Amino acid sequence: MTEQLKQRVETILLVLREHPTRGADLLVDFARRFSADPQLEDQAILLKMELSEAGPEAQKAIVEKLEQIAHAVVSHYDPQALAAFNAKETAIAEVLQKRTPANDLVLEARDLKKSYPGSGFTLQLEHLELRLGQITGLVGENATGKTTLFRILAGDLAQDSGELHFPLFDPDHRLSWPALKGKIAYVPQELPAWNGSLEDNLRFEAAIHGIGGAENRKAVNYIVQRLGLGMHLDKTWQQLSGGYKLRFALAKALVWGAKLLILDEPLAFLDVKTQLLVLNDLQNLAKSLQQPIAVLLSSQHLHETEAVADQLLFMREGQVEHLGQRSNWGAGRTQNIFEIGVKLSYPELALHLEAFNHQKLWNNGMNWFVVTPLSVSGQDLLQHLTGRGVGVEYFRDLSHSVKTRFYEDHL
Amino acid sequence: MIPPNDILGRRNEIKDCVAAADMDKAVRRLIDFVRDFIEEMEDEAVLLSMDFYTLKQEERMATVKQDDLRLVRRQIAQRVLLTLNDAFNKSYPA
Repeated sequence: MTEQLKQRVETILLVLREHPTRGADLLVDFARRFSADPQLEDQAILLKMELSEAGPEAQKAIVEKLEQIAHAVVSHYDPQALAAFNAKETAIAEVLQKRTPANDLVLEARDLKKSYPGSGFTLQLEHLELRLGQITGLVGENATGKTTLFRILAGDLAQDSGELHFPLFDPDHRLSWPALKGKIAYVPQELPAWNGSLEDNLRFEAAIHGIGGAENRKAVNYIVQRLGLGMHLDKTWQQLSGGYKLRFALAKALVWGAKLLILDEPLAFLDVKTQLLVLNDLQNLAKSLQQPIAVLLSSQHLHETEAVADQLLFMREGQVEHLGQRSNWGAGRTQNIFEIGVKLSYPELALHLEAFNHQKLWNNGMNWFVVTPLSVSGQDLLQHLTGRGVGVEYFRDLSHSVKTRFYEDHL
Repeated sequence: MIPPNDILGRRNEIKDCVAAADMDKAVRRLIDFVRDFIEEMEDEAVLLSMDFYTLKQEERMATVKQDDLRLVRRQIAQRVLLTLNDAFNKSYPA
């Protein structure tokens, strides 16, 4: 085994000299797997971090130190000590893995109905469950009733008929509606402006939810740091960018430990990077082992929403047309559908696809959509096109995506 | 996404963030980590985050020399790793 380790180290040293960052990555992994001393791994990690901002001379010095760590892993290699170390870590992990994340039912809606006789619009929802640790994404065309539904669930608007239950907050149906509303965190699309200091607003929000004294300060500090807002606390609401307004609104919703969070189009005014940051934060906060949250969000950013949602609702003209687990979306489909970006006209693309097993082809003004039998995969399509010298600039398999719902009239 | 009860996976995720110099994500995930596995260390993680954002503020305002910034950044990264290892070892229920 030590000979194998030495060969491995020789490879790592070679890569370190040619591509220091890549070599450092390999070394961190090597130390993680073969050293019973976590300090060696941590030293490699810190040196790798420093590589990113080091000039050429400093890089040389860092690479030398990384080489020393590589040799130290081999010279201190002790199979028995490593086995004992791994056994201890595994024991810790196995005990904690038994802690199953909570998925208590937080909200149940049945047969909800809300009509607007003037416009003829009616919202109808047969059944919806929101659970701790789950993110539910609501998608649909504009003016389809998403905000109306959210306002009903958040208690801002009364339904005409149907039932809303909150088993986690009110198992015995004893709480008044104002009391229940106080337990739901709702972040609307149009964020109301805050007056006064941002920190005071957060402290007040925690205080009116019963968190006072030292706990109030602690709760505010926690959420400010958790959402990366510390650098902006001294600003006014008007000085914040759209992205930070949304993040402060999230902080206000979460500072008091909300278990149900409803967000209406949270990604609407965010740049791509901030969208991912916010969704990543929502996902990690929702699925916390200690403090899980049920999250319901609406968005027109289908791809991003699908990436984090556990459950998806598709609405059209006030009706929920589909509700199901994200992992099952497209399970009962009879065809595949692919979205491709190629700089070709219809006749040109049709010619390339003449000998290819496909059923339909259309363009939405930006990209092409190709419908195929189930037996034809995305890889088949890509290979066919690239094999014919077609430059494919964009490719996405929509077979399991809610985006297909928006093109049902083409299918 | 790493399953929330996968402590080894989550620990490695934070270490990888430090290695990639993504300290923003590292401190946020560290706060999540201690909150889920060893709540009594939450204050420590929050303080570490405050120090990190103070550093970012100083960098933005250019009130500290680059060498000093690098030194403090390394110290914070070191504290993240130490806190993480400490939290991991303390997380084993008695």
